[in-house]
Amino acid sequence: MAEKFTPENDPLIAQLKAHDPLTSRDVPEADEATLWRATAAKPARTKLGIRWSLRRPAIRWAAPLAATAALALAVGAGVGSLNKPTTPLFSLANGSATGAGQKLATGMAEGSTMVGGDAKIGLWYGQTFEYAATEGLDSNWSNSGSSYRLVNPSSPERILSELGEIFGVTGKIARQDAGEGNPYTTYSLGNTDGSEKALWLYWGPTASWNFYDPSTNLTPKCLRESAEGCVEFDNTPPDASLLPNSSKMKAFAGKTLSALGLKADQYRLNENRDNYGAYLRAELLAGSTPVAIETYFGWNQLGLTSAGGTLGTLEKVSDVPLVAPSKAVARITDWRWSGGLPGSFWDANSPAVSLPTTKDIAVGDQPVDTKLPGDGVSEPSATPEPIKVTIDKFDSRLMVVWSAQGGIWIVPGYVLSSSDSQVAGQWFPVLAVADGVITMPELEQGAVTY
Amino acid sequence: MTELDFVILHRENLSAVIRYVARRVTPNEVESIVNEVFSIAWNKRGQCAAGYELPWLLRIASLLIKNQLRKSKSQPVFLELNTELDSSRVASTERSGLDGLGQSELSERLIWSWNRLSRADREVLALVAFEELESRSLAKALGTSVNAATIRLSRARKKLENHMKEFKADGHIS
Repeated sequence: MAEKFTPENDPLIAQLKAHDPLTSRDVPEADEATLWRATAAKPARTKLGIRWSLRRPAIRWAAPLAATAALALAVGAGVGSLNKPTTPLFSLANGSATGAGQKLATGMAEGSTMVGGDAKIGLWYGQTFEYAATEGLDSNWSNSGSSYRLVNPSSPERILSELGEIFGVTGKIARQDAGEGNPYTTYSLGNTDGSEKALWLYWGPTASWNFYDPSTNLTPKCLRESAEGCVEFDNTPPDASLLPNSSKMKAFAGKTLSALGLKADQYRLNENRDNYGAYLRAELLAGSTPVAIETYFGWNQLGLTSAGGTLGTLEKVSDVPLVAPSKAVARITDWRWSGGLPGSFWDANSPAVSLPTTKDIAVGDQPVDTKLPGDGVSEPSATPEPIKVTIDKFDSRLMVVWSAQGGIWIVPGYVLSSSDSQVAGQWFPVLAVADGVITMPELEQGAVTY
Repeated sequence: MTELDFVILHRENLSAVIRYVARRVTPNEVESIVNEVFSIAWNKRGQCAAGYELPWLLRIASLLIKNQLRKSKSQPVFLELNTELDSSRVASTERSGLDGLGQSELSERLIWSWNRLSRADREVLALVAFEELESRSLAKALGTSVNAATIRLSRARKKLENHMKEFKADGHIS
């Protein structure tokens, strides 16, 4: 009888491992700047296409993750004089003393810093931009604004238990304490090996949760199969009429938010749908302003496929002094000042460019053209002249930033923009708080900003 | 997937994605592909099945690499085995039908045979040997069912083994 091998006991696999191609190749070090670039590139939000956008300083969609990875934050007490920031309410540097805290918050690898990663961006991209404020930019701005922080709800077990009832996930709640490779205490319910629907609750300085149901995976019908597997799928879109209607989706979202200890009326719901699914995004409101703290739900023809979000309620901390928009323009080139905006902002301000999907990239042996509008026409040269951009508009917004300890804060910011055709349709979200209100991480010596 | 989840996904899988890509393209192509993998992943993060983040990222990377290989004018380096042996990882070849061979001959046969496999066969074997994926993850990374993935793995392994048995020192098939 032939020997039954598994990868663990297979001598051929062991031989392959011993000849791993990687051992003879140069491997780039893991660089957290990929996180920055992934979230900052956001090709859907530029007319210029993914390739170009990946090669340029991409503050404009810096958004939550850039802030996540970058900021060490301290919100000024701001309770004395708004014109002169007092001692920060709390201060968390990203140096060695509290580095672990930031890494906990950001998921950064031990011994790494975003500064080091970003320092390379300026060198890699080559193209530089110079930003200046137009005269009159400061004609209408307020010199103070409110800051908030996100406060975790209590009792993770209770939350998970209630979610389990709503999502139909049964079993015993499992707890995995924070440790090596696991920055948060994680609670789970259901079979978490990916074979059945399950719930996860990540209980860190900021709490978040996820639901996933693998039984709702829609597998397209295979039209042609070979020894290599299916080589041609039926691309007929699923029937959109089988998706849940808007009121059903909203009712479910309300019920879920309630189970999470949150109030549905403190959220703004955004719905969109296509043939493949119906999606609901609930953005937390600070007053009447939506901020980038979201809960999402996704359905397809088979039911609820996934859901999740960031937990917590907003607590107003204080009013803080702001800088004028013209002064904030200089912050565009310093990633530390980027703030996160909610998806609804981008929905309303994105040019209609579709993304390449993974199935668009290459299917079988058929090469697929992944060029987007603008590809190839704006590629920066090796040593280009700086592009001068005049900022002539600002919009006051509340922005999300993360503290070095992993907490979420909401602070005033400006979305800067220009009518210059070279950067039209791009948005630069920067924090508006005065110097000293937030303790920024130090730029390392030799770091390059862009 | 929340933004925070994406940060965690990134942190936990970046090194593995870099290593996956570095095995398949030239060093100067790695960065741009890894960048693009995470850009697409960010934009498609709602499609990632919990628990299968790495195979999902590798699937994206594999599609990008396919395109890159089509466009590449340089000599492909797709999964070229290292001719230098990492002796710490060598296990006994007993029961494989190749026992009795010295390690240097074994290595020579392996590399010769590996180079005769199709890219698809090398890919499925590499996902198990180098990326160390188990069957469910392998299926996700290949974009197919667990059954189909297991069959592909078994066939690729058999082809490699047969090539190794056929090998003669002069490089001709026996």
